[in-house]
Amino acid sequence: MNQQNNPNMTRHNLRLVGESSSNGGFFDEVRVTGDAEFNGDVDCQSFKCTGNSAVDGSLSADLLKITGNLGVEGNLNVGNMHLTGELKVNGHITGGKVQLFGECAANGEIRAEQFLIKGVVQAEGMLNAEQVEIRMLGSSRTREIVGTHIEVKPYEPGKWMPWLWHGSKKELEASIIEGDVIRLRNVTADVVRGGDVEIGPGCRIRLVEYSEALRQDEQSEVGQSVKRTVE
Amino acid sequence: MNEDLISKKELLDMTGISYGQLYRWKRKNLIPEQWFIRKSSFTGQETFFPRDKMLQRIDRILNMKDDLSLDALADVFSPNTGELSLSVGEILERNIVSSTSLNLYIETIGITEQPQFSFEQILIIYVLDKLLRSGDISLEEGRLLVRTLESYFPEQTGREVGVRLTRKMGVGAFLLVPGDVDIFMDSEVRTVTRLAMAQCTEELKLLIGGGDA
Repeated sequence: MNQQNNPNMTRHNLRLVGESSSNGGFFDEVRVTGDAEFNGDVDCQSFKCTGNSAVDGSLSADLLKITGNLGVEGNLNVGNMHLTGELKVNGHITGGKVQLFGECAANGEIRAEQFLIKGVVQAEGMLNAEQVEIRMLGSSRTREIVGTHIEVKPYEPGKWMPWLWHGSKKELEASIIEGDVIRLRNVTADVVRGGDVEIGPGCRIRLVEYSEALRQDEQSEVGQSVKRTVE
Repeated sequence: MNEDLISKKELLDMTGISYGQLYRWKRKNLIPEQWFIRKSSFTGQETFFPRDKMLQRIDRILNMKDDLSLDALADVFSPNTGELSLSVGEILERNIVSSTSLNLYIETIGITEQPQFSFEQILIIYVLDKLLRSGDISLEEGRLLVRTLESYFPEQTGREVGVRLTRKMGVGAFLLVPGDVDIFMDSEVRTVTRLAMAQCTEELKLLIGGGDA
């Protein structure tokens, strides 16, 4: 950790091919092709992986590009992230723009400027982002989704990607969803609070509180809706 | 906890901020995680905040956000003090504290050759300076304050500590109150002055940071 205090520290590149392991450390660019295991924290400018990477510690990177699987035992801290495959993080995910295609599971919180996922998300902590966009390909579960702009709906992959039809229901379950603009479809939630709220088809919400507008689809169930008035 | 709480709904109504803003500030650590107090109620889970702290914080964010970026603001509010250190010359040149206070501190601690002060030390000098300027404490009490803070702050007291000077029958005593909670003393004890360390930390950071800009 002392290296962090040294701004003149030289960072080297790391290239791992095949089945390999590293003790982690500070790098400029990390490239993985194949299976890699990191037995410690990794701090780098960019992390690119085709294959599987497992970090037994925390991972920090300005740029993260993964095709395959990434497992992080600690926290994941990224600027820009692009992942196609599966992401599993035991700690928190903190990021700028996080774009995922596949599965995302986090045991801690997810904090990002933009959190865009096509696939499935499982978050035990709060999902907090300026923009949350979830296009579901299967059944997702989160505790709380909060932010400015929140959109959750099923993903229609079209005919050219038929393998994405793996049968499970495209729906999301959450206890609380709060944001300024909320657009939901196929969402089951206990409470939804927001400014401009749209409850689309397939939703089941116990309580909706809104301050500006509420549009509710006929094919949705809302237990109770309350307009919050600002004095 | 007997603190006065405010519900999220009431907070948003009173301040006119939106969910998006609230959560953006939380994400940027402008509002500490511990202030989000979750309680279950018959309408589902509700979130509450410590009323005074929260309203003051929102007010400050709204006032300062035009001048500073959110990240810069986060540094101001962060209880972490970072690695900053300044020399005697820099402290005086930037007018952070008066030379009287600085000298009193150096004399009390008995440093002879150390040219650099850590943020922690500057914070103690800043508090000393503040109290001396206000006229609430004497030079002798200033020495007592420095010795008290030096031995307990922040390792044992935490950073959210309140500093109080009390007097009973003309005898002064400093109290360091972790969490800055209310304390109750016999009726002859006068609380002469009280300060919140967290607030002083913010002020000092602005003072130091402002000099850079």
